[in-house]
Amino acid sequence: MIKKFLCIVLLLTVALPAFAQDGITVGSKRFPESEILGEVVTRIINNAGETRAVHKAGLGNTGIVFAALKHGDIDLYPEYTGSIALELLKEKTTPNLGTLDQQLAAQGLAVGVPIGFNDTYAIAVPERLAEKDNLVTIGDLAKHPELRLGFSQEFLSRTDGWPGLKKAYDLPFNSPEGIDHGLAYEAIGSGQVDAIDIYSTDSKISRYHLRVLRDDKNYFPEYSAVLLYRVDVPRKYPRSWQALQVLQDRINADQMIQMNGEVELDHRSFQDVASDYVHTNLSIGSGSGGKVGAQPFLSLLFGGDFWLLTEQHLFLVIASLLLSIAVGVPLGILAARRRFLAQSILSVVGIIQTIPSLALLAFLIPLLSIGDKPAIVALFLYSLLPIVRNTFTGITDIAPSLTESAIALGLPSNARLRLIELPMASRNIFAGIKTAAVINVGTATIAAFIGAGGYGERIKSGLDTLDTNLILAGAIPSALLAIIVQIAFDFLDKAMTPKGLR
Amino acid sequence: MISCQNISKQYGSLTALAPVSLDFREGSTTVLIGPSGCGKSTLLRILIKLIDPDSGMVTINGKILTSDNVESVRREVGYMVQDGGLFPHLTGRQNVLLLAKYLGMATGDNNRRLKELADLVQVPLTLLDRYPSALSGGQRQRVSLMRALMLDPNVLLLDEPMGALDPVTRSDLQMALKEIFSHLKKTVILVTHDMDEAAYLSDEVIMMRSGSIVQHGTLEELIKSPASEFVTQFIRAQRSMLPPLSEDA
Repeated sequence: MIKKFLCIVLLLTVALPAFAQDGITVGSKRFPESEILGEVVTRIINNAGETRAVHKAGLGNTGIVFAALKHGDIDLYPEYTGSIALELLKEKTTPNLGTLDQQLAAQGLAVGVPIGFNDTYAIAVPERLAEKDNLVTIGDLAKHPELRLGFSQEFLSRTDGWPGLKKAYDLPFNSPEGIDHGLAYEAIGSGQVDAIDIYSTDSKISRYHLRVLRDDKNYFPEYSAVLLYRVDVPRKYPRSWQALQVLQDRINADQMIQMNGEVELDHRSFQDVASDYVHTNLSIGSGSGGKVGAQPFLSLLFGGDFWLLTEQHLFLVIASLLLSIAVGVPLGILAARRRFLAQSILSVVGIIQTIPSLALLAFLIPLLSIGDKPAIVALFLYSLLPIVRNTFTGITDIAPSLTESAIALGLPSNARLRLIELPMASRNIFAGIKTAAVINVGTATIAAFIGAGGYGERIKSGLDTLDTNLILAGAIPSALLAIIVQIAFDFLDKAMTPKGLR
Repeated sequence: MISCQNISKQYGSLTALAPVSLDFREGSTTVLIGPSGCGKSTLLRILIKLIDPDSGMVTINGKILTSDNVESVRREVGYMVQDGGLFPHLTGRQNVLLLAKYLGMATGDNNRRLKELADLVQVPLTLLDRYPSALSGGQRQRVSLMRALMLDPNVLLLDEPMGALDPVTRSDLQMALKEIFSHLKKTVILVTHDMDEAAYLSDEVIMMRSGSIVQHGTLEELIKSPASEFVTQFIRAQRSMLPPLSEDA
């Protein structure tokens, strides 16, 4: 009865956000430039006064954001022509905007408002190394197979990234190291790698004294910043769409590098940078009031969004945990009762556990889109193993003489389960729930990468801008929460264990 | 009251129980005895379908045991295992009352019965508020016996109930059991490998070996006219250690 009720409550909490809200949802990828542009777009729409725009910032890589757009969770986001052509439409070259538009129409999407700068991929090496080895063009790398390359995972896997580059320049490197884009500059700065992939509008190129190698074979296509949107947006919100035309050819590469630098180097928030931009250049809003980055660590830790993030984090952990208890305990019982099913059930939940979290999220996005839902489902799936396994062993570990005594008493199967087996397995089951909860607190940080919030929000932003303090401001509360959860469960365990089992 | 026809059990090539038919004498104590692995526990378990036999049938209180009636018939039988089988998360009292409460029997009746049984097995009522882990081995067996007797079954099945006890406690409990059995006039089937125990408690003895019954009779018959050399050997092997007691039987 209680279980049924819980299920309904859970389904409602999970399902509710599905009812799309009115207005325009702007998305952005997980790096400052995309987030700044997304925020600028959001502010322009809100200023037009026709409808409300919400910015779901830093949703993830191209695939995730594009899936969200197709699914209708976001209505538009800043994208690059090269990515649209090569990555999303699987073309060999980058056609002009008109052709792109025609090809996108089939998916109910369109492209427009070229913003005015080209942010293409490029390969950078330290200036000193370039000097020493005489590296000028990308082709020069071929003469130095001893160089260590460190590329972002996205670059390594994109068709217009490393695989094509290796072929085009006939480069002799076999397996470049995969590095998070946010950490690549750090890695090259500390000499851990010799060459990295960069975006041509990165603010850190000069800061880290890097030389951008010339693409003399014109391998990298043009990555002009544009808006990728659902075709119904201009129809539904004509005035907002009209207002967005102001961005056409408005931001050049230097301006973009400047804004990126304010986030990446001065540690200002992308919201503040966007706010200042629209205030100064488009006379929208009142600006950020010149707020500068670097806050003292404690005020950063408990800063404005602390309780909101805590609430989001706890919601993810609790919702997924309740769901996995409601499913995992019955599954464990089923495995214990029907031994021929046990092997399959335990194998399946075990295999789920081995799926990397980002891969699991990527699987879930086409089904559930972005936000709370896929995050809760992913955490729920990860929680199953400890709960199912502990329920199973808790019941099967009961001494045969006790199981036999319960049967011999004449108790029916359900009564044996309720009166004997579950109470005796309770400590084991509880330990499984505890393990799941503690692991969930940590894993929930990944939810920020698909827009579900939580402490991961800070870790994500910190990674984007290489702000160690911000990363810590997310990691420390998450670790503390894990410890608190552990202690709380230990306490509950003492209070709830049947006396005779202590 | 309790009987079986042609029950047998095979585990692969091992014959745990060759086809056996028995009619246990009402109101008397039958001891199943034999060396380890002789099939005595298998036979006892089949009698209340803890193990499904390959063939044959069991009749208890006039009812043929089937999967449909097995739960209700088990409630007419008391069963007790070697370590008592008390559930560790329940107090002695909760263990004894478990089934009665599940069946929704009146609390007043239950408490009266509890008191009666505590007197019978000589356990102070206060002891029943303890969890099994806080009871001695002998106390556990007595509480377990209370649980088996709670619904006043006419048949009692005991699987080596004194197997895990020290000699002094065992002898105390044997005396108590003998008194209880003769007082209650229940049909008791007791499994043991201890000849001394069989001698002391049995009205009839069924000696088994390798899944088959070797001899069925009173202890005196087994001693005076053994069915085979094995019977004599088995009795003598244990008698030799206990010369005075063995003559009592």
